[in-house]
Amino acid sequence: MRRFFLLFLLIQGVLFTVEIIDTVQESVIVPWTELIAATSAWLIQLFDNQVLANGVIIQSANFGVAIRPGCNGVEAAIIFTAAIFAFPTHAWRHKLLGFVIGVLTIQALNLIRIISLFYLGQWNQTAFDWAHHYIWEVLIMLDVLMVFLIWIRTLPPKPANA
Amino acid sequence: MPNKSVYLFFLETFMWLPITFFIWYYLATPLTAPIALLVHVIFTSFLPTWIEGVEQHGHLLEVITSITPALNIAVPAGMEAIFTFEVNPLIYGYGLPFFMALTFAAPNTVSRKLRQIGLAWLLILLPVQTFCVLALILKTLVFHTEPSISFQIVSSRWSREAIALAFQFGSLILPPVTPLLIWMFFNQAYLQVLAPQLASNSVSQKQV
Repeated sequence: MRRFFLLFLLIQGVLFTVEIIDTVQESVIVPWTELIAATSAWLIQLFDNQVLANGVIIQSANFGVAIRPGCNGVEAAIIFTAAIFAFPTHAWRHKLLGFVIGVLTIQALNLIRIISLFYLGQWNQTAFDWAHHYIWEVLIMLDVLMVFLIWIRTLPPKPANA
Repeated sequence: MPNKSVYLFFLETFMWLPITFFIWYYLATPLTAPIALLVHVIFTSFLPTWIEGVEQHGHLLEVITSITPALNIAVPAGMEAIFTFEVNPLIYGYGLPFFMALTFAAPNTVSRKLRQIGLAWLLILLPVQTFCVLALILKTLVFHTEPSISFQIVSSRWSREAIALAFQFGSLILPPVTPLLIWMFFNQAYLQVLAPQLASNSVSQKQV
């Protein structure tokens, strides 16, 4: 378990440091965040055609939210990725599959988070602040833990003489 | 130990969250007091030229600097303009209600759960939250004051980069990860019930 914790912290530290490098921000993170804004706006347009995405901003006629670092699901994905790849198993196909499905799950929940915040912000600032700063942070991490534990449960049994 | 399904465990954690958030917010002012004290002592010891003090107002902290801001308005005679700003330590403190919910959902005795919560808060969550608040205040001083002042506070490029990294790490990674890691550390045996495949890889089972 100690090895897992140390490797987890190491992988996470490396990935996070890479994430905040200016070049990576400009070429990967900002375009990714814009894609999330566009996807969120597209989903909202299914029932509210007054909403548009403009860069990392989702806006209606009288309200807008900007998707900032920490809101684009990248950090949660980094934490999940570090957990998957730090886990002591050589089932690499399972790791890759878990990585893809897990990151998709996190991003799907993050889209729900962004859309809910967009409407909460129009309704009540206090509710928005609570959901933004506290509740959704915890729910996303709960999702990370749940997907990680479910992934572990799907691992093939270790051979007896391995 | 009861073989509770992983889904039931998460449902129970989810149901605990409103209660633990309520307790946490109700106790926000006393929980912020040690952070206010630590941050005040650290800044007035290490940056006495720039920070005059850190005052607690409810769950908020007011940082009082000795920096004179450049203002476009006249300051009345006999008065002095100083740069102050407010920070909200709670934005880095949600790890406590999260950890409490996970702990209450895990099958342990009440006394063991309370001991785990007390230890986790005192030894890990409180220092981590204090670190995050320190990084936020330093970031504000170094990146949100006039360059003529901010470069006097921290001049080396590497120190500025380190403060930026500490702030980012303290904002985005430490608050969500810390409660998870502590909970996993305290509940290694229960984790093996939730995910039996862990047993073949885990080297030890600890209970606190």
